[in-house]
Amino acid sequence: MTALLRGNDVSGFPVVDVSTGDDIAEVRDLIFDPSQGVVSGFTLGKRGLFGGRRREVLPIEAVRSVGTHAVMVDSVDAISDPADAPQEVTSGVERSADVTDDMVVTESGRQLGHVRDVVLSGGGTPRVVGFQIGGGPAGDGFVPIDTHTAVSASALIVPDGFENRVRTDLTGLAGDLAELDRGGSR
Amino acid sequence: MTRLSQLIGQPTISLADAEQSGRVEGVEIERGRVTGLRTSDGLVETSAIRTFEGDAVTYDGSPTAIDTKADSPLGRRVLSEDGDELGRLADLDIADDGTVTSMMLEDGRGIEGSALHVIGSYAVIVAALPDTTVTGSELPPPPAGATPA
Repeated sequence: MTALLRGNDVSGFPVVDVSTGDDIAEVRDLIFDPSQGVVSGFTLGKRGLFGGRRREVLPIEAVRSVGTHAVMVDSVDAISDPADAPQEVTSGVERSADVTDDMVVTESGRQLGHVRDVVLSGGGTPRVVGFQIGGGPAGDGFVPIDTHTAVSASALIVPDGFENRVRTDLTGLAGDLAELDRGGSR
Repeated sequence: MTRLSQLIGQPTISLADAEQSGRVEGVEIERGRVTGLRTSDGLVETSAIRTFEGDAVTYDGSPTAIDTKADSPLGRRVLSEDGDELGRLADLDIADDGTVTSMMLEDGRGIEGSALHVIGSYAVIVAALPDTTVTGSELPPPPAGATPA
């Protein structure tokens, strides 16, 4: 079962060791790499009411699956010290590659609003498949990632005509993604 | 055949000295089999247990120490190995050889025992859908904000 999840939904998810059934950490934030358009990992917090930040990170390669309730790992070894983590994971944290509040503009320069969140497709190979946008003339909703989509720490560029592709809910976005898949444009 | 809910709370009696010393608090599971009982005295391995089907659990030898204290697994969250929440554990059917034949969720649905991987401090882990056959009623709707792709 693959689900579409917003970054905000995943923040706070327990990280569960599938071999023991124990919760070993909590997701704090997604580490999003705008240059590749991928989630390279997660920053972590401690579990519990007074849990603080942990300095370890969870590289995406060490994730077994992202489900509707938890991020599953094969063992406690999945969590790495930043010094041992892949470079793209640690640099993502350092750059604080935050795309929320990015301006959303079409290729011909029409402003549609701002990025509110990333949408990722869960399962065994979690990836970013769209963005939640809002606060602009295109209204609040979701847009899929297209081959022509470009994103940096300051702006999200979408193809012309995407102002008509803003879906009001994740079900609509899922339909759009299926259509893009069928059209072979992704 | 016995149920986990009947097993929990049963007195545990060592056959070495016929002393009732503890009670069953939980089970250790590995791939659809009960590998041991967690008791107030420690862990009693399945191989040392004469039967699961009496009114008390009698065992040979002595329990081994358990480092972590765990609450009863009944009511614990059930997750697929993919991280999807399936419900809460209501009960397990356990055959006399320790095989878990089926598990029941609190909403009345059943999952075949062979899908059960492990009972942890946070969650009961079962094989991922669609490998796992859930019977009894329709699958729960995905949580708000999540849509099957």
